[in-house]
Amino acid sequence: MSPQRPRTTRDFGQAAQWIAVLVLFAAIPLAGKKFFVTMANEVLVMGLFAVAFNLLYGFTGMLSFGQAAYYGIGGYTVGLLLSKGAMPFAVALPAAAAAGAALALLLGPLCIRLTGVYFTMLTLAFAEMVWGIVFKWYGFTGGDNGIQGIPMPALLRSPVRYYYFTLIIVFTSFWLLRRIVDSPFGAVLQSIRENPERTGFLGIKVRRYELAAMVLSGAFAALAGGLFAGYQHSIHPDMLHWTKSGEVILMSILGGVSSFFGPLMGAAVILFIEDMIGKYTEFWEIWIGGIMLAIVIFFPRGVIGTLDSWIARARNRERTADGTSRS
Amino acid sequence: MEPPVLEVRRLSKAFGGLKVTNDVSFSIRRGELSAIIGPNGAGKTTLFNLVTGKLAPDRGEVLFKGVRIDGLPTAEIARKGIGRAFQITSIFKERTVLENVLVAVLSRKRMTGRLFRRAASYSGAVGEAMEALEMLSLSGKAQQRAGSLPHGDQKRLDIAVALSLNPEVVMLDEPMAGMSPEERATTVDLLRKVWREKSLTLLFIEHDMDVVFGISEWIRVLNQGVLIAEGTPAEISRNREVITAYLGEEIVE
Amino acid sequence: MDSNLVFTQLIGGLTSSMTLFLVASGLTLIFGVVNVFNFAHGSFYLLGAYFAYQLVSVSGVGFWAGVLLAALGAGAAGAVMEFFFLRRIYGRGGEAGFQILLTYSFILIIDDVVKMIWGTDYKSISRPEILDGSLTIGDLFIPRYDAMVIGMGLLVALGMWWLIRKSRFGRNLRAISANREMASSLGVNVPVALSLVFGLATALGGLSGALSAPVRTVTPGAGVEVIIGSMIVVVIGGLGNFWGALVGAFIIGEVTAFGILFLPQWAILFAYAVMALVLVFRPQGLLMKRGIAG
Repeated sequence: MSPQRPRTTRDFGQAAQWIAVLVLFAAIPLAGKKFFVTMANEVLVMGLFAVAFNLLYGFTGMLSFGQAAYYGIGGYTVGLLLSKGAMPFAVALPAAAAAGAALALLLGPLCIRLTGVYFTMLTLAFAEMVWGIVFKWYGFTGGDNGIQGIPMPALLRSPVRYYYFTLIIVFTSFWLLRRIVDSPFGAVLQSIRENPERTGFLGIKVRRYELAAMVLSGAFAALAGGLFAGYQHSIHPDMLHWTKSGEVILMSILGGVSSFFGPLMGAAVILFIEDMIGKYTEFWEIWIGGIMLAIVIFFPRGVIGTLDSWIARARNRERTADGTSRS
Repeated sequence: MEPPVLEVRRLSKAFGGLKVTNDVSFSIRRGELSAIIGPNGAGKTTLFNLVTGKLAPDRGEVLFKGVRIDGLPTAEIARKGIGRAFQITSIFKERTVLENVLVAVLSRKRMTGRLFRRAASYSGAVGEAMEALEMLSLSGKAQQRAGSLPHGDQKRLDIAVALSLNPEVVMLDEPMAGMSPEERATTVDLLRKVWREKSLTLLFIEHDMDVVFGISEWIRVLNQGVLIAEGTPAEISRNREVITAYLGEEIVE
Repeated sequence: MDSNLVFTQLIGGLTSSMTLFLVASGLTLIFGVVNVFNFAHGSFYLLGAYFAYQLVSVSGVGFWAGVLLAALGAGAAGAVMEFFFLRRIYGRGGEAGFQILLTYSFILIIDDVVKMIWGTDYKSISRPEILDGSLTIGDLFIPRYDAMVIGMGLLVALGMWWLIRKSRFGRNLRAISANREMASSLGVNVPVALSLVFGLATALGGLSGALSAPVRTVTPGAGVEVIIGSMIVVVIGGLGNFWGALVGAFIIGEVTAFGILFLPQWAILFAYAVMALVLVFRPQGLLMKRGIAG
């Protein structure tokens, strides 16, 4: 019997899914409405941020409430390098990802000394610290005003061109992240999520892998932040605010943390809702809070997760109706 | 004569004022198949924890192949060649049976740092994982979700995971617990086969005396943290102190 | 350095320590007994402040009555959150994550509710006349209000110690904290106790907010600052450790107060630095013993 899982229709199905989603996103500018492009661009950026967050939460089981720090560092790296450092965007964007990784290497070792709730608290506290530094350092970061009018290269100035650029970067990142999740390294992360102690008994230095997960998550979050800065042509401390961290957590749990693309779906839904709410009232927090509350209480597996279990339950019912038994 | 593969010297551990492990010393020869028995609360699992690095002893030493390992982290001890299965099954329930063992194999082969190829595509590792499952008659269930297996299979999976690390010493904590008599018999046969084929040193904790007296060559008895007796099954079954320790407990003999 | 300045900072630090302690003690109490990290704890501080504003500045209720009622109001709100919402997710797998998300959603909800009712501009309460001005001890001045807050904090600390150590309720809490099922089988009414302790803890947070209202402006953002500060305090003191909350609050209060003398803009960084140090050398918190009684 072949020990390897043969390439099944499921694998081709997966590849088809990726292509379908890519084509869908690529087709959006063709509809001609600026609003769609703007919205889709934001969905891609936040989607990347959310999927990167979920590498940490859904796959490794580490609930960080401070990922906005990395997102923001990425944005500020791009913003500062372009406006004050007169660096090209092609340098600034990778630099943003590197900055995210560096920050994770700095804060990570302290955070992983604690687990569970303690870990979450700590990530929040450190993120607040980073926000505080950026917020107050008026001379360097523009303080609570941020920095506007970031010069972008001529090639990317049109929104549609920038959108396609973002699409390429984001989907390449998704591909990389997917491979990481499927790799032996990813298998270890998932084992850590389920049973960190047992994973240690397999001879694995758990903390090292947790730190690696934080670095990867931070790097991609920072990349997303850099893309956002390029899109907005401005940066602002709100990018580092803890509500940003909360937003990306909400997107992930809405979409479903146990699926790879769940957070992307969640991002689309939340951004759409925020846009709609924003048109009617300034009191958006109560709505977002309400949605989050409803998900936690009624749909703990997120939209995708709950749909999945409904489908599975329906299939089981079919099967027993057939007369065949299944454990 | 070859030095003992695992040696415990004057090992002591106390929680609060309670001495859970009290000045325990013994040595295990390479290739030995032995059992640790004792009434509930005797400190057997604590002993396992002290040896495998989950706990650090207050006093005393643990030596593996002549080198001290007490106080080292669990990952390091596992790497050195001591495998362990747990009393409460500690498998990864959400993953498939194959994935459970595959992670162990990948860890042993130091392949867990690989980031880019799918884990399932490393055919060498997958092959070894399937072999480990085969040894414990689980290869037919490779793609099933581990949590969906019947209890006895889950325990065997736990053992398979421990064995995939190719350890020299395997420590099994109540491997038969919760199994039906048929499952027990099958597992005992499998264990004996594996022990012989892989030239393992096998140490297990058990309450089922049929299993203990049926399979082990040597038995050590703990009571309230103290090693009160060790010897062949025949010697132990006649030992007064052991019988007294178990009075009030059901002995299946 | 001028001894007057040192003393002023000392007192100022002590006052903010007490404010922090009131909030942090509630946070650590909830964690120790209910095993929940109440992320929304700062929001009850906020509610206490706004309730006090409403009662004292708008409705003209007396200061002391207003503060007391405000604390009770915050406590009631906390008990409601626990009873109707938090309770539904006890015992779920991956529980800690859900608790955090649930309490986070309450931060957002309470934040907007406060904005909807009272708006976003600064509110204030005036101090009762009896607490205006300062006490003099030789050359040194202590603002009367600060002295009251410090005294109140110590009183609460003693009261809580008595409650936890000496009272029957406290005994029940300690039992629940050690083993919920066992406590239940020993006859403790666990669900009632959980709601009560939650309410008590949030009432303390609300008390802190109400007492702080005359000295700090009341704005929606205050809740966030407080939760971060309390988090740092409980990490330093040890989560679930009551005396740790007092010690931690004292350290952070004074470190920040003196930090302001050296680096006014970045004083808060000192607090983070202390927390980082504790994490590196003693992650379980400064006070080693576990248990809510410290």
